[in-house]
Amino acid sequence: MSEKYLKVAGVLAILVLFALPHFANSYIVHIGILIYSFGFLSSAWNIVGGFAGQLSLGHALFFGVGAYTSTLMLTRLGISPWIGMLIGGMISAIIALPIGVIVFRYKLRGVFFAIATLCFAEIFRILVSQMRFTGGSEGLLIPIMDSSWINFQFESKLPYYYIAYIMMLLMLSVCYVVKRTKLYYYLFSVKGDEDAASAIGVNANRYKTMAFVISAFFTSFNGTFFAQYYMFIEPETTCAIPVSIDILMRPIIGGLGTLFGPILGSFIMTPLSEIIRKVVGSGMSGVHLLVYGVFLIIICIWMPGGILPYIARTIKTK
Amino acid sequence: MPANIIIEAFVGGLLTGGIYGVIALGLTLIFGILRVINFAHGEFLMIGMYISYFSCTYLGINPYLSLLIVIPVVFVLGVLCEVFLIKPVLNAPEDIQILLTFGLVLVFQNLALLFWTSDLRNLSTPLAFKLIKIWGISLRLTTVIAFLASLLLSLAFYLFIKKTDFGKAIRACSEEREGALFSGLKLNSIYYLTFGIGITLSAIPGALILPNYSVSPFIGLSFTLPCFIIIVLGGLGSAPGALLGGIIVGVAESFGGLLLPGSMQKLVTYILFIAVVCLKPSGLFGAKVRD
Repeated sequence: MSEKYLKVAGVLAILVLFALPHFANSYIVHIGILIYSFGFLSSAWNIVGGFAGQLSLGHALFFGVGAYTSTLMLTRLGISPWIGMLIGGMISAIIALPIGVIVFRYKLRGVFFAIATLCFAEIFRILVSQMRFTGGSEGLLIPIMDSSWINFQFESKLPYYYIAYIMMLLMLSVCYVVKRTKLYYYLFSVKGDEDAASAIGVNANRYKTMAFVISAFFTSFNGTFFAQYYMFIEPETTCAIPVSIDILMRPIIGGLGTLFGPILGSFIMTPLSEIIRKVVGSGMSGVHLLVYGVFLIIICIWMPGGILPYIARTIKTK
Repeated sequence: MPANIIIEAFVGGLLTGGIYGVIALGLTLIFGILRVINFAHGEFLMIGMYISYFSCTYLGINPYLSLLIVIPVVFVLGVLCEVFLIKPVLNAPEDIQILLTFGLVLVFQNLALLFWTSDLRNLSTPLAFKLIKIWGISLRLTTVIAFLASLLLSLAFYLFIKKTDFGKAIRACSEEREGALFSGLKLNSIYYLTFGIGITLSAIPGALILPNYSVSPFIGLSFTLPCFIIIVLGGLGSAPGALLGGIIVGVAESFGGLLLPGSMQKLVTYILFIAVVCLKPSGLFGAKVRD
């Protein structure tokens, strides 16, 4: 019975959000775009961070690869960002593969996995900000072109809204599909107890690497979206540590390893951090990270696992 | 490259390494007893540096005297953190513990940013420019003092662990938690005292290096990272291991600094971390994986 209601509510929510930009002002549309892109990113992160239980602190690397690949291809070769997006995803996957193989081959778990991924992302950031080719620390501007789908540039925010929205829904479907594959069950067993899973013949390293590569592939897509939306990329906003924090915070708060947790997290945290940024002004840029930290501590102490599982538990016990 | 530059880089690295060793000692102590990996270790060093900085600039005291303020303040802060934040997650899965201490990182960094802005602050004491010459190598007096103080501190810590009753209780806890509980040790108080001591071991070097370092809210990670490398290199809870690991990291960073331009020097620590955890995986979790 309640499942039926949930489904109806879900379809209603999808329709309402689809129609929203026709009733809302451009600031709300902007917030909506951010919510969806972070929903996308956190869902992608959730494949390795939640499903596989490997807390990656380096997803800014793949986000940055996506942003830089499509932008460089557009500015240097005049190739449409849509193709750049796909190629960026492939490059991210190619980069993620050896990282995953090395990191899991040497049994890096927990905090060591987290820091190793952070190190890879930071190495990438330093290289990008040193190379002339990528525009150094000043970054790259995307030249203004005609407003069209091929150029991935639009005068109004509306197309961006729908692109972000559809990308998030597609990412959600990807996660839904992944959750129904064998891969998910292997990951689930590895997350529960890696030694036990290996003992019954699950190749833990292979599946963790697969999750890492899939996650990297999709994370990269949003890097391209970010570049096309802001028309400007620089190392600090695309591949620095705060980007990784922004990505992983939402699934952890919403519900680690759940399908809708990352989305819920994005619907809570994105408007919140935008409001904070607006209220305190740009002079104090760290305040939203302070709030993230407080949220993290609260979640860890009172509702480990995130808000969604917490709600599910309280409903069940009633 | 002239030989004396290489030797100076080596000795400089050696001295920084000793300081890293003490910081890492606090981290391994906390892990050994509480089984919690403190991601925010470097942040407490940052706090120690700020307290020292402000007590020097506002009270006009000697940088080394500021330890009299740094030690009690940071110790109490550590105890409070343990009681209110770490204790609730002591038996939680490792992920939750990592995320909690990571939350602490964000809170401390950004509180520091909020209160003290992102300005680099340094004590411009004349002391920082004093050089001493030992066998033809010129060294900063402040670095030598910090190194000697770190050695003394590790020695004191070693004696404290080996000779005092409380040290014995700590060792008992790290070896056999339940056994320690049965023999009537109060685990709770051991936990918060240990956390306080571990944190203080991170903050004291912070105050010691302040005369020739600049402090900013984001300085923590550049100390946390070497500490994790040291843990993997030197093994857990061993004071000589921590010192040795510290010296290896310090020397490697110092040579990296010689070879790379300034903006790329941080690469050394990142690459070193990846190399060390991959080449020597028998560190922290290696034993757990193997058995």
